[in-house]
Amino acid sequence: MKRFFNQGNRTDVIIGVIFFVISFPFLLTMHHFVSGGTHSSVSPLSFPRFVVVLVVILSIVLVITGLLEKPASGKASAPDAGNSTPDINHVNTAIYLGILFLYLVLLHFVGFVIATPIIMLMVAYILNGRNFLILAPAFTAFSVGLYYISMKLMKIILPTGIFFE
Amino acid sequence: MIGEILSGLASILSPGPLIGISVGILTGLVFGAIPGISGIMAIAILLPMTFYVSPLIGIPMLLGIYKAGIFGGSISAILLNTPGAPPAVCTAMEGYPLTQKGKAGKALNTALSASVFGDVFSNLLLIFVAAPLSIITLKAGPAERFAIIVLALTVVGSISGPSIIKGIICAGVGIWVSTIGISETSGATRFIFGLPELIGGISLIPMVIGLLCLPEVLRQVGGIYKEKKNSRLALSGNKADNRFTLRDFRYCLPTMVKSSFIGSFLGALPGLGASPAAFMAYSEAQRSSKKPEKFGKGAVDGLAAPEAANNATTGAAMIPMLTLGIPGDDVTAILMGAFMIQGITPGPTIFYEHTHLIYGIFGGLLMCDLLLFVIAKMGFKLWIKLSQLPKHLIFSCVTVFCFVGAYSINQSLFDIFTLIVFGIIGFFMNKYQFSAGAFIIGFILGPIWERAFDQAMVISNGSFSIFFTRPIPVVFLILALVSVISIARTRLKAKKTAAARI
Repeated sequence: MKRFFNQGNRTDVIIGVIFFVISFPFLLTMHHFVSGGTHSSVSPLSFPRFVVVLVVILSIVLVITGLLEKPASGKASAPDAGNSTPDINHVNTAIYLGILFLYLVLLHFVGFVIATPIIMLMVAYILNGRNFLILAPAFTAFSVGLYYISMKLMKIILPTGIFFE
Repeated sequence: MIGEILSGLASILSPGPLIGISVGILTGLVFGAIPGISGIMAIAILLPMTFYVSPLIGIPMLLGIYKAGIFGGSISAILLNTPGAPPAVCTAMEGYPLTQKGKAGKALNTALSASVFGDVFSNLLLIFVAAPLSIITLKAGPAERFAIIVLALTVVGSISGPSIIKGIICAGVGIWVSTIGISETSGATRFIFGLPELIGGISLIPMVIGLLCLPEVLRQVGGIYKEKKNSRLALSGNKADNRFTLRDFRYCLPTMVKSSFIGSFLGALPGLGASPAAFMAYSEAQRSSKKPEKFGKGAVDGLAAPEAANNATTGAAMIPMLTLGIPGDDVTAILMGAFMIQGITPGPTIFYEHTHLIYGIFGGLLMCDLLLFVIAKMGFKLWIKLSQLPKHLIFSCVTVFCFVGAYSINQSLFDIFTLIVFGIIGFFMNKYQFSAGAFIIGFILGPIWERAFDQAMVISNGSFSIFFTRPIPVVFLILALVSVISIARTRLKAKKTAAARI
């Protein structure tokens, strides 16, 4: 098993297997996920079935090519080297994702005008922005301004929050 | 018809479209000039705004962002040696040495003039080529359209990523996701898993913003944060150091014409885009230059070549979208989404059903060039300041813009949830070299492909033979196969050569 994982492009093999594990059972059971509609000479599943078969085949091909590929000796392949971040701080990434979900929750409960400056300060903090005395009023003004611009110019009412409805 | 064309071209001169283009250009320049964010992010974020204005305002505004964003990417490349977009890598190679010599103004002016030259060139090509080409493609039936999309997907999927299979899988999964919701032919609801919010399908805008903007913010936030302390940049007091003279223009003209041809040709092919055009034009300029030894040390023709080429892709990239209904890259895919939001399906019929609008947009393209030249030139000092903004300000604002953009189209918090989910998916796609662009193109082409597939099935009574017994679909399907095989062979050869070198 260890030898197997030392060979080939392990990431491609795992991703190929994930795609296969999702798409193949979906292909077999997709008729359970259709409801309603009128009778038509073409089934609503014909096209999705055709596409999912394609994905299943390609995921198998990805696994095979991943197994056959020689493991990369360097850290990153050439085309990717320019785009990738060499060192990723996973804690910051996880915190930022947490902030995004928190923003969603805050929008629901307290609305845009209150939630936005709090979230902006948090994002600024993880990016080393520490001058809160300037940032806090600036972000508050930004949120209020954006709220009114959206409402007056685009007729979009940004979330007001269920606490204030 | 001619009257419609002329009135369409003239319609862009009214205040609404002119304001829309100016806003688009300013936004594109700001987003392009700031390292870490790009014009495409601005297009994704501002896409919902087009829903609230006439297409004659909204679409030229997005085109303004597109064009200005590409030039904006060159600003940080020239000033900070930090390309704001991948096509600006060659620009940095020549522009930054000029900045180091105190000639930042000359570099910016050269880049701007070459960009506008390339833009105008490709716009004229689009205007004169697209309509005649649409007459031919108009004759395509469902089977032909199906085969054309197969070709487009194989080309897009195989080019837009380091692996052919991964690229095509991305496009395939994009199409699969596009089938969620109500089926157009039977009205049946598919794959909604008990979530009523999915009946209308996954919203395009939160998905696009999630895939294109949030992963970049995640990458920046997750990167080990070291803010470069750049010395304060400013334009030189000596006017000669800031000018792109008539003599420079004459010297660069052959390079700019050649580069515009390269950019337009590569831009018109689905899936290629600005980066290969810039690299090819740069190497051709170096090969044919009278002073090749100056390359890498601040050669003006070396700077003009990638700039003309990468901007020349913008007009040409719209040729496949307007004549075949196939978006050639992620930006044109979003532009296609903007057309569809307005109830207009890009394709050959657009020239007959919306003549006034389409020629208005063509007029808008030319107006974009003029305004880009004027606005960008007026604000050099401002762009220099913007390129040095701290990251904590930029990305906290970008986060909020992403949320507002995703929320605004349906005013639903479910769309924000969609945004976050696709943001996470996009982050992992980037990490494992799957192309978000191919996914988006698949998502947008999915319904069109399904329509062609269903219509062909109805005509042939459910037989797949319709795709293999008619000459045009057969030709396109063979071309698709040939393109996949030839790209696979080229990549295999490149890998072997690289391995042999090691």
